[in-house]
Amino acid sequence: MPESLIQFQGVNKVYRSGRVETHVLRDVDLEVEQGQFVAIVGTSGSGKSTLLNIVGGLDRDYSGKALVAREDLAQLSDARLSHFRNEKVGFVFQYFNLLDHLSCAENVALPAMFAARHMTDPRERAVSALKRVGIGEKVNDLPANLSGGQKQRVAIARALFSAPPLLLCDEPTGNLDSRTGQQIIELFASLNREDGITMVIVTHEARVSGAAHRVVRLEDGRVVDHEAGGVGVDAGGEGLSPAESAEE
Amino acid sequence: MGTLLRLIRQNLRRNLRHNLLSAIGIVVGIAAFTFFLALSGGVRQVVLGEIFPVDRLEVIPPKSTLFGEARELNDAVVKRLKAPPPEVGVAPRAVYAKMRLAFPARGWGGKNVLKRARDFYFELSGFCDGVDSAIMAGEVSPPFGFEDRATTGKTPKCSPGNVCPEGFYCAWDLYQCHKPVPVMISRHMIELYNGSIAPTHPGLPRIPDFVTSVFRGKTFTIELGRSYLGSSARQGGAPIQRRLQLVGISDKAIPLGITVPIGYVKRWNRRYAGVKEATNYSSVVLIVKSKSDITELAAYVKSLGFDLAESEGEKVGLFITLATVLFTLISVMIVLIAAINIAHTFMMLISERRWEIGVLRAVGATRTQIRTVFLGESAVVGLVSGVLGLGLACGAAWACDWYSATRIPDFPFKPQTYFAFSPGLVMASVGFAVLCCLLGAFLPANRAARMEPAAALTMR
Repeated sequence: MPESLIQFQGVNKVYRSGRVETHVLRDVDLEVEQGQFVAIVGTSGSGKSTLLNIVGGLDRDYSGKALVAREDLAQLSDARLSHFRNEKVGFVFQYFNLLDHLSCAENVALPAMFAARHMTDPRERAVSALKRVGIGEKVNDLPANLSGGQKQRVAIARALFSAPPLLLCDEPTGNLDSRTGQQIIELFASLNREDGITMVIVTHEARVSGAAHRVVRLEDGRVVDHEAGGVGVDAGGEGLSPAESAEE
Repeated sequence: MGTLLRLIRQNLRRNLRHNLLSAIGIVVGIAAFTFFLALSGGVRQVVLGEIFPVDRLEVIPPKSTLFGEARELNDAVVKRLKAPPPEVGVAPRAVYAKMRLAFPARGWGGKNVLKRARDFYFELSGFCDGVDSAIMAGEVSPPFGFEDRATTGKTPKCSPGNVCPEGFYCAWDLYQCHKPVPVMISRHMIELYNGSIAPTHPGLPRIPDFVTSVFRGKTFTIELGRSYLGSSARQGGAPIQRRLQLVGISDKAIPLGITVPIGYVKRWNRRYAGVKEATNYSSVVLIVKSKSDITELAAYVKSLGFDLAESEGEKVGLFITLATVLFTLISVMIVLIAAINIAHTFMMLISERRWEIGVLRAVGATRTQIRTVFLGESAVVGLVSGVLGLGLACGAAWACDWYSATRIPDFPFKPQTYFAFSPGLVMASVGFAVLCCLLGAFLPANRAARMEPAAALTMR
């Protein structure tokens, strides 16, 4: 039986503004096994991104128990939590979050700057990651010279740089046109299938959830439904290879 | 750390305009700070090193004693001053006694060497000291010396017509050939001559260096027992004339006047002023090993019942210190205000880069690393500002020195430079700039480090 990579038990998250309390997550129980491709769906404000932030160790102001890659995130010091983010998790955001003054390779190699262990030849690793996502020729380009899809591929390469077991994506196709979005979904499916990377994607796009093994639905901060996802883009064999799909 | 430095360099390049603007205040402040401290150091070197040396104490007899016997500065006291008891804790590096000419005397000379129609005439009473020859050893270059020549060698009789061998003169009262009395003068005399006399007397040459000047080895005449003011010595008989020879300059020489080996003054005082004036010294000088020894030695001198001559150096030193403190405070205020500006700039930069901080945290930056990045940026701004400020101060100092050298008439002790840029000052200036920038960026950097990554990422 595959090991659980993510285990949430009774996780609550409350935002406080003066006397007003907003419950964003309510008693969330969630388990994600290693190698799964999970889509988290729900309406705006349902708590999807907050859930993802907690899984990724970006937000530790919650109650309940959150175990990720066997680490109880609430118990980790800032340094250990940072190392956890550096080594165990890759993030892909809707707006790519690339540093405009750095080249693609420098953006991808950013985690090496903060790695607890010295990485040999981070540039070579960055180039390899860029090739893996199909934009090996953009190594020295600045993000400003890239299309939206290419930027998202750079962001994915950065997320893959430390070879984490878990990729967390927050609306990764939300800022892309449908064709490019589709290519990115295919890339995620390929990474999950070929590299065994566990994918957790927050989305409200049906085609993303269609590619997932499993769909978790959130409403008002509660998990209201676990359902099997679509067969995945690989099922029909119609997906493009990363190199092919990068030719936008 | 190397990769963080690369990130710091990239960030600095990206925010060049912001950083340059915020660095201006630091540059100006550090320039003022360095300029005033270098000026103070330079002036202090000239004033306290050359005009009023502060590495010595001058012991004088007490001005008055209400009870008991008058204290006299004699050989026994000199011996005690040379070797203070162990409980004093410190000992002087050198001790020498001074004896002042205690009767009317006058002198003249300089006609030939200065190519003038008349000699210079001067009073000597109160302007002639005797000191131990040994204390001047090493300050007179051969072939001259500063020994008591009356006690060395033979003194041939003068030939008819008062003729003596070369290097001797005829002391006509004894009808014996004597070697001239060696004379040391202080740099004050040279500076006074160069700064005040030479410029106002056309044809008089300046003396850039005494050793190579025409004055070295030149002789002049003094008459003991009579002054130009009409007074004569109370005892000793008829006045006598002696030939004196300029042999060197020394900071141990009397500032205004001439200094000869003490043996001469003792003999002359014995003849024209009495035994007491030939036995008791007018003062005893203690040269300290370190300026920090002054307090202990001063206390020891007081405990022996003697006074210390009021030091002009201390007064001038105090004035320089007060002026330095004032100007340094102003400079420090400028730098601190600039540090507030740095704080404001970094606060603004951190607000602008909040999202970026979130990204760095998301890819694994710890709080310490975020703090290091921002403090590193501020340290580089400080380092560059410090170096620029230092450069500005050096430029301003050079301009002042140039103006002084080319536009300001000569004056006594006019220095070639008014500034002393010591390695310590250079390091302190740059260090202060870095420190102030770090201080300014400390709170913003902490704020950046404390940002929750999830919240920071929402700020794009």
